[in-house]
Amino acid sequence: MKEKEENNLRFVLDHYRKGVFNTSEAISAFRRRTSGEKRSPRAVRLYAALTAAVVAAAVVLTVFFSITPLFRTMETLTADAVMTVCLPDSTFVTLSPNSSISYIKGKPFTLRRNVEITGKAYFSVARDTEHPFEVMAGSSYIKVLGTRFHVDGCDDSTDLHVLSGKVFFAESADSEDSEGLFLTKGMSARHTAGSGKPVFSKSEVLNPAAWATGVFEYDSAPLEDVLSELSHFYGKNFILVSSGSLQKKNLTGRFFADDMESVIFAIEEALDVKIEVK
Amino acid sequence: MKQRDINNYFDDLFRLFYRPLCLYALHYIADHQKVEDIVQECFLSLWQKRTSVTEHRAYLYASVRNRCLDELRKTLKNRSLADSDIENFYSEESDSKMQDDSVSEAEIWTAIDSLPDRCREIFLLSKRDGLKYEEIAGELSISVHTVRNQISKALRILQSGAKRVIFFIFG
Repeated sequence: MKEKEENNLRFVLDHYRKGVFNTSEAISAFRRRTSGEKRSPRAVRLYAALTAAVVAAAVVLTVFFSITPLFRTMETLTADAVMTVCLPDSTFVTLSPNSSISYIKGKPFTLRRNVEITGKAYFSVARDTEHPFEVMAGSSYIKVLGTRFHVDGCDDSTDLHVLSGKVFFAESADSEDSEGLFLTKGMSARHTAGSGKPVFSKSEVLNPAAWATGVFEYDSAPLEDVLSELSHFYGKNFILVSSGSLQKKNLTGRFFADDMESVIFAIEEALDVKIEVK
Repeated sequence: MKQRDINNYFDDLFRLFYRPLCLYALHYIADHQKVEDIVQECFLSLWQKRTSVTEHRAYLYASVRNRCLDELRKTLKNRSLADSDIENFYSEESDSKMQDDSVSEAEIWTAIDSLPDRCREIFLLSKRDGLKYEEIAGELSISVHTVRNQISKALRILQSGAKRVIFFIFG
C-alpha cells in the first residue's frame, strides 16, 4: 500500500505543472465545441451522420439506373454500427448494425419518396402530404404520412411499431386499403412474407426503438415488463428484490438510456422497490 | 433529453474523469498539451455516440488509451521502429494498474494545486527537486525555519487526502 502511494506521488511530482489539466477550462472548451448543435433532434442526428469516420464505416455503393430517358442514381448505405442517415427530403433514418437503406439520390427523391431497407431502422419522416413516404422492407410495404416509426425486417417477416402518426402497412404498393392495416400511435403489427394482410401484434418490447432514440418511455407499464426490457437492452439481469407493498407496480415516466444506474435508481425511488443487477 | 440535462451530465463526467484521464494518458505520452487534446477529443467522441454507448467510464479510458497508442505509433514510425516495439508500451496488466492509479494521482495533483503558491514552490523544490532545506532557504532568501513550516503545511494538506504521503517523505 505504502509503495503504491509513494509511486503515485512520485509520478505526480515528476510531471506536475501549475495551470494545466484545468477541468473548468476543459468544460468550457467542450461546451463551445458542442454548442454548434441546435437541440432539435434533426440537427443532432445530422451531426451523428456527419461523423461517419468515428461512428461507422459506411460502405457506399452507387448503382446507376436508367428509367425511360432519365438517369437515376441510387444510393445504398449499409450500417457498420448504429448510423443515422439524412435523406434528401430531410427524413432521418437511424439504422442498426448490418441494416441497409436504398433510395434515389438528390432532388428526384422528394418527388417519389420511396426507400428500400433491410434489417432494423427507425424513421423520423418529414411531413409532406403531397408525396407519401413509402418503405419496402423485405416483402412488406409501408406507406407513411409524416410520423415516427420503427421497422424490424428479417427474411420472412417484418415487424412494424408506430411511435406517432399514421401508417398503412400491407404486402405491396398495389394493395387495396382492405388488404392492409392502418396503424396509429402505440400500435404494432407483423407481416409474414406471402401471407397477404399483416396482423396486429402486441409489441413484445415496450420501447422497440430505444436503441435508436436513447429513450425509454413508459405509461403505466407493469414493472415486470419494464425490468424485462431493460435487462435485454443492457445485457444484464435486473431482479426485483423487495418492494414496499405486495401490489403489482406500474411505471410511468421517461428515462434516458445512456445512464443505466440512474435509470435503475430512479425506478427504485419512484416505486419504492429494490432492484438487483446480476 | 433536455439540453440542460445533457450538459449537466457531461459536466459531471468531466469533474469525475477529466483529470484522472489526463494523468492516465500522461503515463503513455509525457506531453501535457497532447494529453489534453486527446482527452478532449475522447469526450467529444463520447458526446457524438452518447445514445449508443452505455459504459461511459470504460469507453473514455479505452478511447484515451487507443489514441495515445496511435500517437505513439506515429511518433515512433518516424524513427523506424517495428510495430512490435510499440507493444512494449502496452500490457493489459499495467494498463489496468494505470487506470486505478489515475484517480489517486488526480487527487494528489489537485491537492498540490490547492497549496498556496509559496508553499507549493517550497514543497516542489524539496520533494521534486531534492533540494535541502538550507539550499531552499538560500535560494528564496528566507529562513530554514520558514521552509520547514511550509513543508509541514504542505504535507498536512496533502495528507488530509492522503496519509500515504508521510511514508514517502520520512521513509
